[in-house]
Amino acid sequence: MHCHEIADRLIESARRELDPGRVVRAHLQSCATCRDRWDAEESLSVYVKALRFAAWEQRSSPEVRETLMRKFAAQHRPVLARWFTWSWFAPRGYWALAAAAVLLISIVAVSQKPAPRNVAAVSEPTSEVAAVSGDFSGDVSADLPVDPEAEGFIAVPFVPPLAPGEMLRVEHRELNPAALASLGVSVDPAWTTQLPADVLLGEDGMPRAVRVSDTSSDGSAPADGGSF
Amino acid sequence: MHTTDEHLFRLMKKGDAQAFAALYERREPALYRYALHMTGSAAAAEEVAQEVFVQLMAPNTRFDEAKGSLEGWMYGVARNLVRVQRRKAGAPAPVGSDSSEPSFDPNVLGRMIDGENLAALRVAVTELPDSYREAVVLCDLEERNYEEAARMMGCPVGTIRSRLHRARGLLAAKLKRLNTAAYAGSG
Repeated sequence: MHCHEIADRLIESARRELDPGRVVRAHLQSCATCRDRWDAEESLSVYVKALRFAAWEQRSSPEVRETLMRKFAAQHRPVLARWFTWSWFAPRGYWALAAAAVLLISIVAVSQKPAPRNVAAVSEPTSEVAAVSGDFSGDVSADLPVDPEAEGFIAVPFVPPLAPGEMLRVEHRELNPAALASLGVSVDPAWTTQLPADVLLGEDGMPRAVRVSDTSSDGSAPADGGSF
Repeated sequence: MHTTDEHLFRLMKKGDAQAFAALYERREPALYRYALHMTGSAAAAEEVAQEVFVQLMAPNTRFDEAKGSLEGWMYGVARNLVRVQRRKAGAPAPVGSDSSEPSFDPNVLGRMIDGENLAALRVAVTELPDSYREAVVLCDLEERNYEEAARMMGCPVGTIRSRLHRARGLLAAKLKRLNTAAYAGSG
């Protein structure tokens, strides 16, 4: 019997821990190469067996099984029940929902908050007011009144209301009595000189309120800005 | 009465959790061990075994009884996942080199043989070419007969047999080299 003829029988015998048989044993006694192979195969079989035993009890952790069973249960839950699953109320989902709700309420609250109305709104602007507004070109002040009415400003009648969020500015200038009268300030008909005034303007340049200043550039008497 | 995998699968698809659990208990250990031997990593093996069952329960499972056994299908999925894992991991890490890996059980047989050689064999198995390694894992480590292994690997019985014999030749040679080196070192 030749070496290549018994190689398969050697390996299979070693794998199965069987006696290779009389013929093979006889060959092994006369062939050092095959004897070496037989020894190596026998040795390998022992280690392979040990490796098999070592892994035999090993398996996935119990958490894997639990996870899979939960997934399976979730997959086969009735559709309606899936909508109302507890996971909706799980911490992550809960906080996400709460955050979304707060955001939504904030947006609604901000969008519905009325714009600061420092000046009383009135209906239609008069042609006189429009004419006066076109004349404004005095100094602009950044010191806007917090409460115009309390600070002596008189609302200009018949002007359109402020748009939400519309900014106001104050201009200082000299106005003649006629212009003041057109803005709703009661003036003495005897006055002829121009009077210093603070005019509250909207972003559209329209005057929204007016206040006669205490002093004028030429030192004339102040107008009565308190009554309107 | 023994219920077939395929019957359990049909029950499982109808929502029978017990059938799914039975299938898991029956097939998970071998799938895990297969992946463990193939990848050399306990974490990868767990991931592979889990993913096989995730795919099994998926609504669009592509298992077709007419085309083969459920076990064969599961091993097919596991084989693909193992390939992905090995590509992800690059070179195979020797089992036991990571402290998170399960250590070799000190069983009776283990105490009888040299632990160093055993560790070397584990590494040598993971370093075999894929087809050889699979033959060793299925036939020698999982004790499948040639017909079963051939079905799982989708090749003729003779091919499995010759792959196994060549693989064993490589492994035996490695062990012999290791022993020779150790003997020379101690001498």
